[in-house]
Amino acid sequence: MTTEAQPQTPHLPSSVAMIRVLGLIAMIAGLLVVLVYQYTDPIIKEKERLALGKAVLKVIPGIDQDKATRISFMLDPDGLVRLDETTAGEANLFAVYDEAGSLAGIALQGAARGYQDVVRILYGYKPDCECIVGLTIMKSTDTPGMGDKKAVEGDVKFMANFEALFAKLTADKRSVAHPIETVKHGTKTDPWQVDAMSGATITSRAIGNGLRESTGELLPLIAQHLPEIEVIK
Amino acid sequence: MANRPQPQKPITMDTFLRGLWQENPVFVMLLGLCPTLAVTNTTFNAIGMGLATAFVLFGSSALVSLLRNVIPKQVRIASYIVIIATFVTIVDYAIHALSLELYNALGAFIQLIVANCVILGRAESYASRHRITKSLVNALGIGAGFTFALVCLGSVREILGSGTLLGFPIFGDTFQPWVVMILPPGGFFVASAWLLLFAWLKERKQRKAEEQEEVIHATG
Repeated sequence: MTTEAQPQTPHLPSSVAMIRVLGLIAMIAGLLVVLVYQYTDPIIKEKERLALGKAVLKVIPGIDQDKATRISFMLDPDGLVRLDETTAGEANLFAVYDEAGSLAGIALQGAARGYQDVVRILYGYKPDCECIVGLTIMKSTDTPGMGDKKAVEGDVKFMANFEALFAKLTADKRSVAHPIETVKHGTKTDPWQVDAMSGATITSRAIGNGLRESTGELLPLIAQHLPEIEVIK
Repeated sequence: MANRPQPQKPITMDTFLRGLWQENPVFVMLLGLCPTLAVTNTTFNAIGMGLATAFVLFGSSALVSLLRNVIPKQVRIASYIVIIATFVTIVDYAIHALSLELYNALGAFIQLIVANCVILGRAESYASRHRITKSLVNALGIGAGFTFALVCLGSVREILGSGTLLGFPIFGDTFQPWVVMILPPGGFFVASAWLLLFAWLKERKQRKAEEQEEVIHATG
């Protein structure tokens, strides 16, 4: 009588053992991530707040940065809400007042799709001249040396577009009279046009589009609530 | 359970140096080339990405090595990925808290460290088979090697493409930056030049060893 050799099956750990190990690893991962998040979150928020504050003062020219006061607001079609420690909400309008308490300018945010990713901008608006008086890049991952923050802000000719860019409203204050547009380098003819940077047309267009969308949405609302913004101090 | 224990060789200086030179992840193993080419347009970004990757490598190697005897073989890759993703999330928060400028410059490439094959490769081929001290020394070597390679690329690209090193101008005002070097094609040009240099050095070393051997045979 012959006995057939039984095939050897590899030893498999039970499902419970595998689930237990994966659960243990997930628990360690969760603990580490939460601890680091809790430690870094206030630091990140404070850094972002400081960076935004610095940028807001940068886009309003002619003010003493040490004596200026900044107040954040949330502005939408439902109304204007002043934000402070007791009010929650995401600010989209930053009013800057000089040392006498008069409104020196308003900083607004804009964003549009660039070459690599969304280009985020912050620009200064003066209600008395109805024009854009300054601009800074908050985030741009476009081509280094051409469309990044350093290259854009270092291009003196391009930045000259935003010294007094026309953003007047129509007589009924319901829309922008001439929406901002980006034109090919060297072909600017009207005061509401942005003369593109040579070699970085897509980034220039993104900045122009961001300005057009943001001004189109916010400037009519600002005109509606201007008395509240001006006297809020 | 996981892996069969293997005889462990003692830790030597070579355990660290292999990652830096003989087994350099970029110049020798050609691993992790995506961040190598993408974020090395400045030396600062290269140092940031190199150190971030080294930290993830160090942390994940430590945890994989510590848990190597309890992780079942069948779920090892899932476990390694969770461990690596944990350290990537930690480094993401840390960079965001340390420097907004660096965080914005590196962009999505910080999160993409999780897919860097240098790290998963080390976890699978080294940390899961060696004791923690040896795994850590090896991870330090590989991390240093990766950072070294990124700095090699970043410095050359920044010097040629912007005329600066770590942001400081090193040529006169008359220097015309070679912008292509900080664009994606520049990454390929500079990487291939470094690879050529490494291949030439390796070949020269082999040739010298062969010549020495011939001399020994001829005289002996």
